[in-house]
Amino acid sequence: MTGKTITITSGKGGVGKTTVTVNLAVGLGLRGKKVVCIDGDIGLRNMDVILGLENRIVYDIVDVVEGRCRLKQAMIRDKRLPDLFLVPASQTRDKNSVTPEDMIRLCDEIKTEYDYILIDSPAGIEQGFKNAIAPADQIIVVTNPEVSAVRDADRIIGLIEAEEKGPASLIINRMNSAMVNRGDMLTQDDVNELLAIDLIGLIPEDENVIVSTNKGTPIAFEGKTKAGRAFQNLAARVEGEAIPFNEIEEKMNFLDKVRKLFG
Amino acid sequence: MEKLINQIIVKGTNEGLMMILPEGDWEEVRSAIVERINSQSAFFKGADAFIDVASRNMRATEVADLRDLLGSFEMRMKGLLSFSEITQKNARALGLDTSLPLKRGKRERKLVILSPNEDSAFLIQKNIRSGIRIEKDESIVIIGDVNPGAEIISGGSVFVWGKIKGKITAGANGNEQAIVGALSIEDSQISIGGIMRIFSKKIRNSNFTAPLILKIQDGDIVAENIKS
Repeated sequence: MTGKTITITSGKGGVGKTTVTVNLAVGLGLRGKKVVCIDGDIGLRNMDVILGLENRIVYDIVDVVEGRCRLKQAMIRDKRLPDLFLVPASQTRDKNSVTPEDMIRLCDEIKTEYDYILIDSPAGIEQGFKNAIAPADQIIVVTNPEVSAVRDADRIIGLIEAEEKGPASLIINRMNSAMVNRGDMLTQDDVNELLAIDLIGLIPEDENVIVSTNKGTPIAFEGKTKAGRAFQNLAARVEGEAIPFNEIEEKMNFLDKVRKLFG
Repeated sequence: MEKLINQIIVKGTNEGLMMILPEGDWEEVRSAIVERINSQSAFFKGADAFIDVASRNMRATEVADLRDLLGSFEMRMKGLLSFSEITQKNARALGLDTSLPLKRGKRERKLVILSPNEDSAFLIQKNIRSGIRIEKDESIVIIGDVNPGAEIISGGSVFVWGKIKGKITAGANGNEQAIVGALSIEDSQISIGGIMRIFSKKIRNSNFTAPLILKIQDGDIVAENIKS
């Protein structure tokens, strides 16, 4: 089996890279895929917290690279999905403890047994970012519908193009339907106008995400929530299904609703 | 006098303007030069000039005076071409070339300043994203957008078959005849030949299908519609 390595990156911090990575992993896991998440944010790890696995970390990625343990020993199995694993980052080291070559070697090893490797890139354009994109077969750029995040996404997409990593795909996270409909937020079209890359996910803003993050239960397990459904749609699109982008509710007045009812 | 001004021949070369002066009394030729430049001051402004005086013997003071005269029109006198050994010696003493630079020699290539009318240009077919900087001596043609945070620098002209939202520098070597063309210009900073203008609202050709051309006119960057 040859799996696919997908790196999730953004440039700007705080746009939801880790949340997206974890929930995409859960979404793929729920579809029966074997998935390994790698936390690329060495020194500032938090993927383990979002997955609720923080107290199980014995070995981390730096231990694997430096030969203190085997890869399998550092892979932590998820509590809920038997085929979802986490390779945690080291909290006491920094980004320079790992090289892009290490990452490629590691991913080549994992690929032989798993369907997907998801790498959560740290913010920024330095060593950590370079490590994260080196092994990638596909790169997903996460942005928020705000000007500064979109600007940084544009910079990152330029760097990815310079590395000849193929066209990146885009996730717009934290879309607020009410604000979009009021005209107070950048729309999907505004973002696309500047970035001009394929959209693969549209995640609505949802308070439940914060609740689930704090509980260590990724929202993708809860398909009834707005964000949970959006993450499941994202996983389906990553698998190649054509799912329409209906995550953001459009403004409809009464007449529109009646028209829709009658087709 | 009328005849003398028409005897001045002006040619464009790779290195700048070539001005071939007629025979005759120097004072009269000199005032014919002034008249000629004044008739097209925008064209001559900022140009590098090579003067060909054929077999005229020029004194050092006359050569220096000619150089200062051209300088007063914001032209740079780069060379004085003549068969006369006296003229050649006086020109060299003032640091002027006495022959045209080698044509497109490999060593010289970096120094060539292209005028916007020349046909050599660097073509890019993609969006120029934030953080990307493209710097070329020749003109640049981009098929795509120039996004905020991107920088385009050219010794010649810059043409963007898309939107300009980033920073554009045309005529980076001081060529004020360079132009900047685009389908639309949004929040951006554009300079031509050292003159800069900030655009803070979106402008485009009033005829939506044609591009917008920016050029220098009377020391300022102005937008011009092209009719299609």
